[in-house]
Amino acid sequence: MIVGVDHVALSAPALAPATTALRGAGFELGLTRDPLSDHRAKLPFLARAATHHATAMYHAKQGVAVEVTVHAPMDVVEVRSGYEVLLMAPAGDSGSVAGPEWPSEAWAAIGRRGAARAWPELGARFWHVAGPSAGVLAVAARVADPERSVRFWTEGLALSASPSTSRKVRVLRSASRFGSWSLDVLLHESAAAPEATLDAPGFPCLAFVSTDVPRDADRLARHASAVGETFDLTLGDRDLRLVFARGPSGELVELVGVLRTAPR
Amino acid sequence: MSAVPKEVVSAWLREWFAARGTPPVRPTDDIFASGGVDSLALLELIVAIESRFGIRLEERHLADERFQTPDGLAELVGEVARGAG
Repeated sequence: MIVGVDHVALSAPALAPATTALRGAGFELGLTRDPLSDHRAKLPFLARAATHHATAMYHAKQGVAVEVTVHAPMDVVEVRSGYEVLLMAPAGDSGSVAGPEWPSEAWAAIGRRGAARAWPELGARFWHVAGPSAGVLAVAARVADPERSVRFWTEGLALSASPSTSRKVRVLRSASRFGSWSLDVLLHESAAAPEATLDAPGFPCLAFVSTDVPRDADRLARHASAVGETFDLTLGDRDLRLVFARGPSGELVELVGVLRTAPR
Repeated sequence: MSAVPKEVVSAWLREWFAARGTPPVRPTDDIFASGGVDSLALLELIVAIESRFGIRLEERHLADERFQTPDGLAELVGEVARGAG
């Protein structure tokens, strides 16, 4: 059972400036691990083979968390692939940047209007809406085949589809009734983005919490273009089970669960 | 499945929260607001309940508004354990 969205992963050049930038935007630093070994199951989802990475979690008062991962040094600092993230934060001093625009139907679908901002410390571009506190409001993915992608997100990841108001934009919502783990996912039809990897600059991956990773991975496999090997990882005092998968248009997702142990 | 008295579940929940080192959670507290239950802690709670009481919690149980407070959760687990949930 998929409970909701846990976090959106951001691949950044370094942890320290990422922490400064996210704190400045209103996020609080949570668990940090440096280094953390890379399991071989991650290899198909990396551009460059790596043995370890650094990771840190950041929490806002509202919305899903952001995880920053730092893999090998990046020589290209630009958003190449993955999700476009709509972030609410107090107005910052970073300027607007040029680049592909969100279609007007996407803004209409979420009832907001924002601007693209550069976030040099994170090596990312994001969509910014000024607001009193920080939080991830939505993510968008470019998809080439909306019908297949909708099945991936709804039947595979338990999101619910809102009534469509646009032929080009579909709005999906994580089904969790727990507010912090809910997220709107906008699929907008266009040429698919370049295939994301976990070490690509920007926001490459969305992580879902699952009560049974193998079972949910099996269900996801019916709609995914690829599902990786399930693997276990100890993070802090938690024994986790994870699997990475790719959607029909290359969308990267991750299922995270806790290992089932003997009764306490 | 056998009946599990609400008091048994309540006592077990008190121990579970105490073991996490969070501030005391009262029976009617919102566990997500005051119990330090983040997304992974929720999973830990689910698998711990399932292991301890030999039940399987489903989506409709998580959607139940009683899955919000120790009191409500104890009632819900008791119901599922006796096959009524």
